[in-house]
Order: sequence, then C-alpha cells, then structure tokens
Amino acid sequence: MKDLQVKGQKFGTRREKDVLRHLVTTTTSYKLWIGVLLFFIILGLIGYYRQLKFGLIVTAMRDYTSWGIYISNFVFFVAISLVGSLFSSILRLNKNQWARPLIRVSEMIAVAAIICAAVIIIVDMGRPDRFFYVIKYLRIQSPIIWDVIIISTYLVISILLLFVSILPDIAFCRDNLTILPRWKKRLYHLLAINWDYQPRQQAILQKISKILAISVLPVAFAIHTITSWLFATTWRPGWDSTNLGPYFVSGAFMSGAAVIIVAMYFIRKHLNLKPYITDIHFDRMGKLLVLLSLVYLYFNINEYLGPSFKMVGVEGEHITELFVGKYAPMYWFVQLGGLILPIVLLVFKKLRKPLPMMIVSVFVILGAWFKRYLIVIPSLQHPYLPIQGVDESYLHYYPTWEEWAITISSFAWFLLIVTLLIKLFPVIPIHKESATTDKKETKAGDKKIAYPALIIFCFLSFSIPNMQIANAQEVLQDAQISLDFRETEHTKNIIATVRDSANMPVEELDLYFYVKRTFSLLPIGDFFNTTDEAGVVEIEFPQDLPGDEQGNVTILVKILESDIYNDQTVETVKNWGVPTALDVTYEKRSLWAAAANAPLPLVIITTSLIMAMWLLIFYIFYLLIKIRRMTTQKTKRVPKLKSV
Amino acid sequence: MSTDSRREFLRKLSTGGAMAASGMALYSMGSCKRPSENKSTLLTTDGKLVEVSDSEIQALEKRSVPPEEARKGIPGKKFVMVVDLAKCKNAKKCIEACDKHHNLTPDRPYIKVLEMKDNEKSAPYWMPKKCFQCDNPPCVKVCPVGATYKRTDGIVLVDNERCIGCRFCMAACPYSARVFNWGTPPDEDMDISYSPETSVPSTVGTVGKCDFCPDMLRMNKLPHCVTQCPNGVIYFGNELDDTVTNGEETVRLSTLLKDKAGYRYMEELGTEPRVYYLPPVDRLFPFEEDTEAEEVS
Repeated sequence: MKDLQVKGQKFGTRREKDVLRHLVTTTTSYKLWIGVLLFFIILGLIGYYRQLKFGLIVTAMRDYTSWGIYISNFVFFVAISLVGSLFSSILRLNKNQWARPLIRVSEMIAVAAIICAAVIIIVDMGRPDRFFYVIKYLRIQSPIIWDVIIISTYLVISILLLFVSILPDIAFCRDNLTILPRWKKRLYHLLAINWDYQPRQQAILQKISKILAISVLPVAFAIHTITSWLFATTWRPGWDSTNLGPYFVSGAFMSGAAVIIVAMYFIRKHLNLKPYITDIHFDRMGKLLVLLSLVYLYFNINEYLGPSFKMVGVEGEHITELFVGKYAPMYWFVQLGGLILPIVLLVFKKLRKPLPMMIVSVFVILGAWFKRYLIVIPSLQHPYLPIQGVDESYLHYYPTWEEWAITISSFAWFLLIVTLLIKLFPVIPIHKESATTDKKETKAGDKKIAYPALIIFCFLSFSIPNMQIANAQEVLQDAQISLDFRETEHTKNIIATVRDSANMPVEELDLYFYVKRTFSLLPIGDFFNTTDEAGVVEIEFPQDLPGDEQGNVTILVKILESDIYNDQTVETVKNWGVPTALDVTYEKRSLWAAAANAPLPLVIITTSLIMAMWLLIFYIFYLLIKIRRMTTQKTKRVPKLKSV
Repeated sequence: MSTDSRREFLRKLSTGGAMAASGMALYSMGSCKRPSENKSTLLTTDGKLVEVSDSEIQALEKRSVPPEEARKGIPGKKFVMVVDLAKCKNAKKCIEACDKHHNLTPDRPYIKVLEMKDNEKSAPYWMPKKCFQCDNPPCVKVCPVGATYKRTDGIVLVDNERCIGCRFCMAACPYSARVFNWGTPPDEDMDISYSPETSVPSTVGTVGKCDFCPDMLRMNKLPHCVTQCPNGVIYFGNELDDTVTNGEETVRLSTLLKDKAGYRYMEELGTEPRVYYLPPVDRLFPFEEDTEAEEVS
C-alpha cells in the first residue's frame, strides 16, 4: 500500500495516484516552465505598454498593410479553439471511446485558445479604450459584431464543456485530497457545486453534456466561418472567395489535432501518464490527422486552382507572389511542411509513434500559423489601385519587436492557461467508466475515425457560404431688362427685352442667361445671345432641368462687361424645372444604413440564433444550479472538508 | 476686449448649446464677407458684447457642426464629383490644399494623384483619386459601431470620436481611400473642437479620409481641391441640380457625362461611386514623368 502514497497523500487505486499525483506535487521543471512563460508574458506586456503609449505606430502596420500578425494570430487561435468541439462533440457523438482520455485536454486547449483570441483582437484595436462602443453603438450589419457575439458564446460553451466534464472529479478532489493548501481546497469546494454523487445529479449532468455536445458543433463551425467572413466580405485578392468558410474550418480542425498531439506528448511525458495516453492513442490521432489534412488539402486545391487558372488582375499578381514571388519560400514551406508532410509521413504505421508524430505536429502548427500570415498580409499588399505617393515604410511589412513580443507572449499566455488548468484539474478522468457505458472499447475504433472526418467534410460541403455574397464706371449708362415667358406644349422660351434709360430698345447687346445652382450659375441659351433691333432676345429654356421640390428654378439674366452699359442682373423664379423627388434611400433598410435600419431578415435571423444559443446556455446554468441544490439528502459520503 | 475672453467666447460658442441659434447668425455673416481683418461685434449668451475678427469667425464656422448633426447631411443635396483626366498634369495643388485644410502630413495625404497605365500600349495618365463616397459603401457596411456613415447628401464621413480603430473599413475599401492615424497626429492637441465635417483635429488610433469638405459645402462653397486646381480638372456639384462646376465653367452633369463618355472606376464592384472620371483623351498636357515622387507599384 505504500506505493499508493505521495507526500502523505493516500490514494485508493493506482489510477487515482497516477492521475492526481501532479495536483499535490510541484516539480522544479514545472516552476522553471512557469518562469519561462512569465518572462515572455512580461516581454509582451512591455511591448503592449509601448503600443498603448505611442499608438499602433510601434507596429509595422501602415495604410496598405493595415492588418498584420495580430490578426493572423487571432485567426490562428480561433482555429485552435475549434479542437474542443472536435473531441467533445464529433468524436464523442460517434462513440469513439478511444478518444475519451483526450477530451479534457482538448477542452482545456479550447478554453485557453478562445481566451487568447479574444484578447488579441483587443490588442489589435487602435482604440482599446473604446471597446465597449461595440455594445453601445452595435451595428448588427457588421461581420465584426457577428464575430464578437459568436466568440463570447463559444467562450461560455467551452468553459461549460470543460466544467461539466471535470465536475465529478473536482468533487473527488474535494473529498479525497487532504494535503492541499487551503485556497485549493476552497476552490474545489466552490467548483464542486455540492456534488455528492447522487444518481439524480448524475442524470442531470448526463443531460447537460449531451446538450452541450450537440450545441457546440454549430457554434464551433460558426465561429471560424464568421472569422473567415471578416475576409470574404471584402474584395481583396485571396479573400474574395466563397470557399473561405469551409477552408478555414477544415484548416482549424487539422491544426487543432496537431496541437492535441503535441499536448499529449508533453503531458504524457511530464505527468507520467504513459498507461493512459498510449501508443494506440497516438496511432489513432495520427490517422485522424492524416484524414483532416486530406480534407484541408481538398479545400486548399479549391482555394488556389481557380484564381491561378484565370490569373485575373490583382488576384493573379497575388497568386504569382505566393507561388514564385516574395512569399514563395513561406508559401511552399506551409504547403509542403505543414500539409503534405503529415499526409505522406503519417500514413506509415511506423511513424505514428509519439516522437515522430510530435515533430510532424510541430511542423503542422508552424505551417498553420504562417498560413494565416499568408492569408492576411500578402492580400493587403495588392490593392486595385497602385501604391504610390506614400511614405517608404508603407510599402512593405516586417513586424516590429513589439509585435513579435506581443505575439509570442500570447503563446505564453495560452500555454500558461493550459498549464494551470492541467495543474489544478485531472487531465485524465479519475474513474474510467464514471460517465457513460463505454464497455465496448472496440477494435472497430479505427474505422470510427473516418466518421468525424466524413461529418466535417459533409458539413463543409453544405456550408459553403454563398456570399458575395462687378465693377462700375461712371461713364457707363444703365439699361433695363424686362422678361417675358412663352410656354407652348413642347417649348419654354425666355424673351428678354433691353431698353436704355431713354426707354429706347438696345440693339447688339449680349445678354447672359443663367439658372441658379448650388455652387454656381449654369449658363443656358446659346453661346451668344444678342439683342435684335427691337432690343429683344429669345432663348429656349432646357426641358429637363431639375428645379426644387416644387419644380421652381431661379432664372437670372445679366448684362456683363459691356462697353456701354453697367452690369446688371434681373432675377426671377419660374416653375419650369423638373421637381426633384426627395431622396428616401437613406431611410431604407440596408447593410450600409445606421444600426436602426438594419435589414429585417438579418435582424431576425441573428437575433433568433443568439437567443436560441443563449437560452440553451441559461438552461444549462439552471441545471447546474439544480445540481447544487440537491445537497439536502446527505449520502453516506461525508465531505472531509466540511469545516471549510 | 482681451484675446483671452474672445477665445473663451469662441470656445463657448463652439461647444455650448447656444450653437444652433448663434450658428445661423454666424453662418449668414460669414458667407457674405471677404476674408479680412474686419471685426464684428457679437452678443454672447450671457449678454456681453465681444469683438471678434472675421478670420476667427471663419475658423469657428469650420467646426460649427457637432457630431450628431453631422450624421444627417445637408438637406436637398446630393454631391457629385467629375474628374477630367484629360486636363490633369499632376500639379498636385489639390493635394497641397487638402493637406493644409485637413492638417495632414505629406507622407499620408487623403488625395493621391496616381500614375496610371491601362495596358502596355496605351499612354500613361494622371488620375487624381479621393474618396469615391460610394452609394453602396463597403466601408460603412462593415463598421461595427457606425463610426463611418452615409449621409443624405451622399457623403460618407468618419466620426473619430466613435471609431474604435479596428481598420475593417480600410480592408473593405477597394480603392484604398482610407488612412489611419497610426501615431499621434500633429494636430491632435489643437485647441479646436472636433467635427466629423472638418475631420480636424485627427485622433490617434482612428481612421481618416477625404470628406468632400462639408464645412465648405454648408456655406455653398466648393471643396478646396476643386478651387485650388490650376487646370480646372475637378468638377463638383449637386446631382439634384444636374450641374457641376470647376469654379470657372458650369455645365450640366448629364451633358458632360454623355458628351465625354464619363465613367466610374471599377463599376463592376457595384459600389456606385459618386466620383466620375472623364477619359484621358485629347489631353491638354503631354504626360510628363513625376521626377520627385518615388515610384512603386
């Protein structure tokens, strides 16, 4: 029995000891690891302090490359967060029992990644102090708003998923771990929400996890599809694509699987969990990664074949730049090292071993990060109009140390959150069969891997979004102009008669006819309008000239710069114009209208989707509260920490 | 009256609730006066008489419209611009006037005069480019907070007191019309109150762009780029008048577009720009390379 003890903590079984040991002990390598992470986090904080102080000028982003590695990093983290749904929804619903030990780690990674994504998008803002304007002045027409809504929804669902899966184990820790510091005991006590293993509580928990397993799937697909719409709703080369949603989602699943493999490798190594995360798990994860890579390869071909076949304008320039230009080394590294390599290597059973798989997965993750760099940055450098007449620094983009420091610190944050979650909660379920009937750990598990890939593929195929989507001189005399108007069915004529001070008709005088407009006078009539011997000149008024709302126009007749007569103007208002209809398009509902005039279908669809999702979330909260209240009938298990 | 108390008065005017009433008075005064050091006597809200020089009144007019009012647009107007490419010789006076009016530094102007060449065999030409003030504006569509908006007079403005700096509008604009205040702009601390109609002062972390100078339009005056062009390249007017003018010549918009085959840049995008171009045929000037500007594409 002695070997079931660690530092005075007694464990009931070997499994309990293996799974819980790291909760009660702290190793030097763990402290060192936290130290390294904190170093990078502080470096990032210094970078961000400088950015807050001086503005985004500390970055290499400028008017053309207006989005940089913050945005590509954001997309990367959103992608990683999808993996939680892969395990806790797709694999679970397909009864892939082999994947069960990996569910928690995937959920922890999902929670950490989505938190990082949310924070990075704030880091990218020019005015982070105005973050809450997003709620105050919300415009439902903007894809950014959709993204904000879906990210917060997914964040809550991810945390719930994780919580629900570890709840019984938290209770177990509350009841059985005796040598913990007080704050940890209190934490477990609080988080265990009075769980005391009642069948009724277990039934509710089963229900919650079933609801979550189903509801997380559409939310997960939505989160990355909407992130792709931030790009697909513009005209930029490489973004203006209907393929972007499924392309992003498939890439997310692939990189997420790679992150899981790396996490498996290190958890197994450092927590001594070899009996629980076995070579079989690696083998199956290897197959899963190959399948997910193949799906992503398919969408990659779709993404690049069309544009590279047509080579249209800036789209062609962009493709050329990627294939053989400035970005070619990065592009081919990403495609070969991060996509082809895992497919080619991991089809061999011999390579589906922990170490080679971990190395391949690191390539996949690097490929995934640089892929997002290639999606965001080169597109912005190929606008329709040539880049001219700007400062030299606007022509290229090399991220500054501040950008790198912040980006690297986001990874450190991510790893820190994951590490702390692992340190606080058991990664592997304490009791193997505590949740469901997993009696048949089938050998057919291999075939089942195909289902999730198939589901993803089918979902993606259906979900391809269809977006498109005067100066007077004393010697001069005065003259008088009198106006007459003649209107027939087809013509409107202005007849001007000029008489001098002696009331004699003025002959051979040029008159100028105008209509008053907003900024100037519009000349009408002929080029020269000269009076005849009767002092009369007649001009035709244009038939289709717009007037005001009633059709009134102001007509001016002038004597200008004559050698004999003073300058003079007569002005009259005539109802000869075409009435202008007041513009009402401003009041219409449209995508570009003010928030209050958003298109109704958009408002209805988004509101109902959000409501449905959040009703479900509130229902789950209600169920959790119900679990908490079920503490009155005491079972035989008395919590050892009742005093707390 | 000391300078200080006049300043104080002007500040009160520009910020206070007395704006609406006194704004109208100032408006009519300003429009009939030439810029000179004439002084006018005005009555303050608290019943004192102050003497204000006309140049200060004009400076005040520039910022007379508060952000909420600036969202509506000038009633009964639909502004439109026509750029005659046959007349442009890259004199850059429009850029200079715009930079001065909007306190911009020369490295990131609102207006750019681009050297264009449609294909290998056709002749190069200069293309002055501003914001196209699209009727189906992609930038306005994507703004999460309504910091950029379309007005009844067709102008798309930016409210930099609301802009959160996400730069989605910059990504969405197919014409690269928008600039960003990456660092602290030189005029940020200027002692004037902000209006989206003047776009000054600029604010760090927000977006800016060509605004068709609504402060001038409110006085029925042409935008600075139009009046400062030595070659009469830019025509401007109210579409509802069917008339545009370059300051010298006034013509029917429909006639001009018909006779000179006016077009809008990249019509196929469906953005419906409010800026038209007249093709660079029968040029007034031979094309000369710009020797000063660095050339990149």
